[in-house]
Amino acid sequence: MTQPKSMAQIGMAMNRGIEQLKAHSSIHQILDITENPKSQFVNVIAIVKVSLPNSSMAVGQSPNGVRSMEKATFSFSPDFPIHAPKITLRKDFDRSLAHVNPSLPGEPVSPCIAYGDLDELFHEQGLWAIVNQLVIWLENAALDQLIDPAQGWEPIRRDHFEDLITADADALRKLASSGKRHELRLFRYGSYPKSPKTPLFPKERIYFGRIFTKPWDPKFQKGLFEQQKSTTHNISGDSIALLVFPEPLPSGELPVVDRYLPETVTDLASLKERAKLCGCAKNLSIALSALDNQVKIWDLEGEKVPVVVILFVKRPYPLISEDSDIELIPYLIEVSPPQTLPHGNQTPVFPIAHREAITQALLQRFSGDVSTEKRDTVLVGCGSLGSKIGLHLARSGAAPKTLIDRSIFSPHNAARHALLFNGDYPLGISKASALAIAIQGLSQKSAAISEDITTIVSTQKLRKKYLPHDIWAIVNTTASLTVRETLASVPRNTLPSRIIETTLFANGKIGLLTVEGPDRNPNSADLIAETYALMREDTQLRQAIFESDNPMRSRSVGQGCSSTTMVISDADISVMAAAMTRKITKMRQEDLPKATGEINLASMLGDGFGLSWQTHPVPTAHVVPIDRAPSWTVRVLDRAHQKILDDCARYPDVETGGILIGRLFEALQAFIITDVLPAPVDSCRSREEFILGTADVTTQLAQYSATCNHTLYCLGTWHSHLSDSGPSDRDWETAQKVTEHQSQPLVLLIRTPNNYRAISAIGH
Amino acid sequence: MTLIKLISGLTILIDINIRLAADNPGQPVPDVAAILRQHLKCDGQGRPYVDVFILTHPDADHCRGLIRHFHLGSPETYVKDDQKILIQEMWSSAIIFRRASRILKLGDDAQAWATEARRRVKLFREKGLGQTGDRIQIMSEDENGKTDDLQDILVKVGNTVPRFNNQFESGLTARLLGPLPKAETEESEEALAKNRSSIIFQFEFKINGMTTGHYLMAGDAEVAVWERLWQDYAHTEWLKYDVLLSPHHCSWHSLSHDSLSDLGSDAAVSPDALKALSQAKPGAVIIASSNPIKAETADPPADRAKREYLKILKPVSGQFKCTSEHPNEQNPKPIIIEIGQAGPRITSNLPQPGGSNNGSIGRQPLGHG
Repeated sequence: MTQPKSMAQIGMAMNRGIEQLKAHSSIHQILDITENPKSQFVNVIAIVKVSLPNSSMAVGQSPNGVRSMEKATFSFSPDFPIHAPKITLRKDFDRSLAHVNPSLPGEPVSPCIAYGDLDELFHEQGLWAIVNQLVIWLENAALDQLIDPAQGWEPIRRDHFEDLITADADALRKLASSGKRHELRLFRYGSYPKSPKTPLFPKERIYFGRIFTKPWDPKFQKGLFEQQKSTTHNISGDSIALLVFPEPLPSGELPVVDRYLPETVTDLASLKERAKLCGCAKNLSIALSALDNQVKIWDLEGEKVPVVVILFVKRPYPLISEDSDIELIPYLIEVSPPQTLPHGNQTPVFPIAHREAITQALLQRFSGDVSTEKRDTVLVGCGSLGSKIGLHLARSGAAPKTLIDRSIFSPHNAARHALLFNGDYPLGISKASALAIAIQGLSQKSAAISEDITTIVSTQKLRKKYLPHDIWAIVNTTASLTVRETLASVPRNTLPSRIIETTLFANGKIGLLTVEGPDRNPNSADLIAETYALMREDTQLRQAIFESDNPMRSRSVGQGCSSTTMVISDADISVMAAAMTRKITKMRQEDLPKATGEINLASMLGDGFGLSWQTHPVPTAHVVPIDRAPSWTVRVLDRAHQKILDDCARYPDVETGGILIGRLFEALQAFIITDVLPAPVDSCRSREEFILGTADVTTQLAQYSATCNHTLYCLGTWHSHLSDSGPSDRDWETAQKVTEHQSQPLVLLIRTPNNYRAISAIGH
Repeated sequence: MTLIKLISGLTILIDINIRLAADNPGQPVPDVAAILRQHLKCDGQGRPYVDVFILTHPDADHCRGLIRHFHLGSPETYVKDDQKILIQEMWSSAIIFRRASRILKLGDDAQAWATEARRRVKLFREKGLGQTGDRIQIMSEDENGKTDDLQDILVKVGNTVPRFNNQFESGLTARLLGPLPKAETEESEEALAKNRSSIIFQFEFKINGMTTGHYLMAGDAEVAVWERLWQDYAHTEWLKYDVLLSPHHCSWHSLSHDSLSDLGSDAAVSPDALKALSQAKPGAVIIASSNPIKAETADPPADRAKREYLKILKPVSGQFKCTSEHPNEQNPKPIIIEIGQAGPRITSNLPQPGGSNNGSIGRQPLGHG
């Protein structure tokens, strides 16, 4: 089969590899170099020096047979150095050790020398690293220390299997210490005939399926019988999974099985033997009788039905990459109703593979989500941005539990929506339902509400049902001005949850994520008004949002991704959605901002590749009820508040004042003051009164509003009182007067030494 | 230099010989101080430390580098920038109470050791057991009553050391076998001469109460000491070893009274000394802490002594290792012995992967035309 090979016949790369092997301090000698003419693999047989304990060195081998001089074959593939050489040991090397790669008896033993991909290690650190790993592996094998507690317990090695199940192992493990001897669970399976080319196991079909956490109920037998009626190529149906738990010690503890053994089970007798080693022999026999009680009443004579048996074994430390020290060892038996085990101890038993079911815990583990926040997130808006954020959250095991979107999926949504549809596009499904189905595929349950959010918040019954007081936050991705204002306008005692808003601007080049403050102050309306003020002050943002020549300019404010008119690619939305989800996840881990609200602005301006974020904390707004119109308020934001205080400090002995800038929110019934303009030069200040002049006022206001595309405008005036007195008759007169000339309501804000007062003709 | 590291974190350093050249990166001498520091931890104040430093005897080649690499004096005077190693507890023989004499000559490092030891003893006399950095234990009593008031920090020959840096240690028993009390016929000065007064220990390593290995080390103890040890301890298990640090750098004079240069191959081995050094357990390792052992080089190390040790090792299929030859003479590396449940094991010296320079660049001048 193989023929000796001279160095001259070997390629340069391989030659260098062999020279490197020779130079390694642990390679004692190269015995032979041969080539397999068929595969063209070059096999280099080397003697590796293994440092054994003194007493083993004295006899040349360890108690488990690892020699101080071990023969190892390095098989170089013809494409070397693309792949690392494969390493095999003698055929009679102890294959019962952990970390031995699956192979058939009689084949050379292949040690699993490195965690991860050997080729990657080779390309990272070179051939010597491979030899080092082999030496370490052999030395650990000699010390019987191949299982490294720090790495975790090596799960049982199965050299081959045909069938596969999924199960939520964590949920099943909890049952192991419940004190029960065994449990029966629903096993929903599929199967298809096996190709005659793979006669590995003596059975005719390949099985796959899922084990449910809910207990087996005899009424599931309906599913069992149905499967057998359709004797087609592919069969699916319901059957039983038998969970066999370890028998507790007198102390109540589960026995720890610290001996590693690869798979040896082939039939019932060897399964019983294995159960004995796992400390569950008695429970297995009780479980099999329980199974028998079910199977003997199944009216399926002549059919074979797969049954799963899982042995639960407690190990001395957690399994590799797991948090639990309970190992699940699953097998499959074909029962032949009414007989369970027609051939008694000779009934074949097949090892089957277990894959972790998608669970919230699994998703959290893979995403590194360490959040301890248990309260739910409500997602309002399941459009392109909302669906992406919703799925990002779901994939990290933190799916929003409530999805609210009234709209129906329509074809053009496919351009940017996160969901994919197989073949035919589903007509008539709501976006919320579509997202809920996707989230269900990630083993989480979300309620899909196709109701208008504005209806929900205004209907007590719906509000209580969908927006209960104990939710963590409401994430509004609709970018709908109506939704924003509606949510902002619901009083805090009715809707205490803080609202997180996500919006895209400027064809997706700018992203906004706002977070309401504690007790919902500042609220989303305050935050958007403040955002306009911030954007106005920043040249780049101002140009992009307010001055760019895009068709949406006249509408000026953020367009919902649901808008058909905003041209933006799926990739651009994804960039923003991913970053916004990171922020949301971070807040779930670290809590919402404690003292302020927050404006987070992301910009993809510049080269268009990177995303830069700015965070602006927004202090609590000063909320001033309007005299004689108590449902209305003036909300003075910090920038305006500070300017007012400064002006008062500059004129402590006379009344002073200025012009209020901001935005009126009708649904919220609030004048939100973001800024003040100084009093015109012809204003008069005295102890008795402040008279606002007129010089240049119109031009200044026009200029101000122009720079923010009229998102902010004049909201009235403010002036100071030297004592904590209320509005004077003169003030009321002025309030009336300004209303006469304006179609839009205006407000008069009064700053007293310690407080604000506000009047407006709005209530009249 | 021997460093013992236990799973508990306890570190015991035995003797040092850090040559000036070793501190100089340009020199071909291994940078042993750097290697030592790699194995040490830092205390809460960022100071590297050893729990215990045992100086077997004050010969220069057993304490060289002390002043340069170790903090001496009150721990309060530690200079952070110097990053010297803090000795939390010293184990010293009573030789520190001796004045230098014709026989007892002390170098600078040895003087510094004695001064530091006396500082710590003084502190103990004034205040009792000190803090880390001030502690000391005296190995074997002095004969003229100088150690009578030191009972709490005194370990008598034949006894085990009860505490290591004031901690109990379940993984290690240290039995003191020397320095031996003066024989009646000996002059006291001579008895205290350095190679006669070496501290000798048998260390017994344990895991969960089970013995996993014995390490015997005896500084530079010479033949008379070994004869005496055999007389005193032949009936005990105290001379047994899995690992022996061959005394006096594989010197002939630990095995024989005869002069090799005078008698050549007629030089005879002392039967009792040989028996004392022959209590090797299966697969035992004898280590020579010395230059490479060659037939032509001067004693120590003596090739003749090595041959005697190989004879001891043959029936137990043991191994002989020389610190300058492990894993090879060109590029010696520390001999690391791991003592696990299966007993002691010399760990493999795996090369640093990736590097393709096998030392050919940097060892010699390379002409470039």
